[in-house]
Amino acid sequence: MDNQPLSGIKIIDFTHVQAGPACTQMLAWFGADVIKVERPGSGDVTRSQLRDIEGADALYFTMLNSNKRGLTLDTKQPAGKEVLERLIKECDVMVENFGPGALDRMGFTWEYIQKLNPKMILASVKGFSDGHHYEDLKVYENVAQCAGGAASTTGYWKGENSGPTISAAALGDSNTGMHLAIGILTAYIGRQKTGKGQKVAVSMQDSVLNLCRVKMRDQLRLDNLGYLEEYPQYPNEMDAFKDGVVPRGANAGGGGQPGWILKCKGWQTDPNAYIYFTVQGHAWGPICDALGKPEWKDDPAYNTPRGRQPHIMDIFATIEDFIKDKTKFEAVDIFRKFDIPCAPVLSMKELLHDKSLRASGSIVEVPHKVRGSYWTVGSPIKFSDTKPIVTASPLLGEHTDEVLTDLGYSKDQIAAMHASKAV
Amino acid sequence: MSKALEGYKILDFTHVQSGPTCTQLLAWFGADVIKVERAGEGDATRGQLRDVPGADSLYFTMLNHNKRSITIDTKKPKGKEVLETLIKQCDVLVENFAPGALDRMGFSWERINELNPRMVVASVKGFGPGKYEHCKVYENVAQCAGGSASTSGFDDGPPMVTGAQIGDSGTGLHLALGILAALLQRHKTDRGQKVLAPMQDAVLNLCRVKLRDQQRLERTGTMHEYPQYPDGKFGDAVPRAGNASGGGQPGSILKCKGWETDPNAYIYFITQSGVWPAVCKVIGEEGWIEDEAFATPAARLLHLKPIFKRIEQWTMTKTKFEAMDILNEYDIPCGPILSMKEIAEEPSLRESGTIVEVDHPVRGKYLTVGNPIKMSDSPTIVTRSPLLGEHTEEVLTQLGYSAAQIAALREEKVI
Repeated sequence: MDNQPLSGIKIIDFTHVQAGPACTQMLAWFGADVIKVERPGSGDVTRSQLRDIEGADALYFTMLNSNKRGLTLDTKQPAGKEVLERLIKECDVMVENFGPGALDRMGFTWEYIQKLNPKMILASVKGFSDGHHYEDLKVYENVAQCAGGAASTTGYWKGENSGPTISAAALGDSNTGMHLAIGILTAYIGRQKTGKGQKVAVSMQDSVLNLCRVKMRDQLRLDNLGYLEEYPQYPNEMDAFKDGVVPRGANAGGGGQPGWILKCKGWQTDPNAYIYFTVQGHAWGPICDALGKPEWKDDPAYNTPRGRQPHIMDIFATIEDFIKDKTKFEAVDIFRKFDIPCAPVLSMKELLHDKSLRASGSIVEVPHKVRGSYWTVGSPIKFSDTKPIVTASPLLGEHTDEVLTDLGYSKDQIAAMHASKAV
Repeated sequence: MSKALEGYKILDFTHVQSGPTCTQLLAWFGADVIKVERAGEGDATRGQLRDVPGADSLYFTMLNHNKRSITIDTKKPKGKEVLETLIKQCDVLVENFAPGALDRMGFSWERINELNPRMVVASVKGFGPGKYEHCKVYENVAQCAGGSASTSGFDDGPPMVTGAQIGDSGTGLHLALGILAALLQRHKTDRGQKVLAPMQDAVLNLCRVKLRDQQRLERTGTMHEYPQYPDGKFGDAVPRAGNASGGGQPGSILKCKGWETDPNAYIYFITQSGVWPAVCKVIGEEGWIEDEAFATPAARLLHLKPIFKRIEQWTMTKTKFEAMDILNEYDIPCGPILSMKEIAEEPSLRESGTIVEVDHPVRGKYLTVGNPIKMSDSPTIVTRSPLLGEHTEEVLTQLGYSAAQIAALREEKVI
């Protein structure tokens, strides 16, 4: 494992559920030794949440905790506390996503951690950042999406279901975990110069907002101009801009290039028989040819973005009519020849079975001692010199004896800790 | 207080959003990011969606903070020479060109490696190797290809894209993570390597729990926490779940006072099992605490719709902030739907530096989203984006070019 980017880095993983585990899993894939610390007997709640196989760790757990070692520890017992102290002395990073103040109540304040190991990097996921008036709130995925601006800007602005809409992508959880991983590696690189650790914190609200940067851009443009020309409400439904708040843009492109989700053959029964279609300026001529509308090429109502915008939905309807007898894959194969940015709406089933993703290691099959093999999303980050190897998530406490032995505990001491249920 | 990435030099060949997000973050951490742009026009986003005539657009200014800008025409031999000098002196090259473009410029991985074996070359692409690898990909295209659109939206509606830029900014973040890991590996090996983050993969990485659900669905044929349960049918792929929470705790977005006119007068409400009695008390349905039909999470899953309808009757009598204050007293997890306007004006976010105001010589002051990653010893100072070619002379001087040479390059329109 020496050829891994993070080999040699030791991480105490005090995280549970999704945000923290997504972070430490990524670091484990890059070669860090991640020791997941769990409560004896119960462990991470996701081991049993949404279970699909009785008695086996749930996919929720196995897909977020691969490549880690599992240690059980009761930190309320003196012997357990002592093990944690030894771990802190030997590790480089500690990652946690407890509720605010929980680590302090366990007796491990930042001051005490620094005393034990001045090089320690302490990384935390929070719902809201320190000092925020909501900082004591417990935050879940969708609460973060609502607080971070994603829900407000996602979905329809009229008709049925025109309320704020949640995204299936884990903007609050996994995304915050990725932000935290960046912070950890940055602090680790900084430590190579200073010799000192530091605290790294990422809030879920901030991480969601960081992905909604362009919506903040639109808010500022709206403040300056009073309308947003690339939104589907422009120019026919200008009331949408009246209150001076970025409206929801449904499936519009959001950038300079108008786009929409279009129905393909079979949409009546297949909820994923759709493509995304982008009207890119330079591809307009070829689009007209593909659609059999050569007369649009020189028509000023069609041949500039400004000319198209007032009736862009009619244009999309024409394209939809053109592809109504084509499957999403056939439609994409036609349009990609014209360099038109488009993609089929891929279902989770199609992605799970996607040959290219399996070949690249983005979808991997992992053998598991109890549940048999399962599929998981592997590293989306590819290196030319390193291919992250995904191994199974640990059983509860699977590596307790191994980790304690590494820390210098004798067989007898380990047996005593088992007897007192400290581990 | 030192900057963690001080001393690292990054050659920034990126444009639009995914790449610039990545290099901006590295710049905030102290790296010297030199943005290379085409002489005369530069990054297309400087002119896209402009709100102030003649000034760089917010699109550009909000994604290119803390960078230096140099203009080079890399098609001219002398421009190529400048670029070679830069490659020799930098640690990382980041690019989000269309597939093959760097090769066509004469800078294949082999050539870069020959010029500087320690160089980390980081790329954003739409897709990894496979059928679609040569396709051009934009934000929403990535959301459709990565599984997010298929699983977002309502069960009776079409796939839905999210306002969060998981394809662009999301991929940029993944790339930053890869770059940092490659730099750490270089400490040991003294060699650079290629790092790639495909947009489809980065989106999928955030849809991990939906792949979890696909496998659960294939094994059990049902998923109790989805709104399709128990009345509707499941197909063979993970369906769209509207505003359901997706985890073990049922949740929904509910209307609050004023929803008829304010598109953001809503609250996210989670009926966490531990606080169920409190929920019943707040909405005035004490009878539900003991009622068999409501008392356990499993029983509640059978009629979540009427439960949330009843809770909504209560939330509609309060503004989202009033509802939140009451629910907080009972520890009931909830969150207001904040609009971009509310977020822009939020004092706590200004305080923490997540929303910052920056002064720009052409457009004046503007707000931007600062660094969401907070470090106790390395605070981030956000400075404005560079004007086109603002640092050309400064960078060339540092590379060892004399004033006369720089003047000649300018004369020949190389810079």
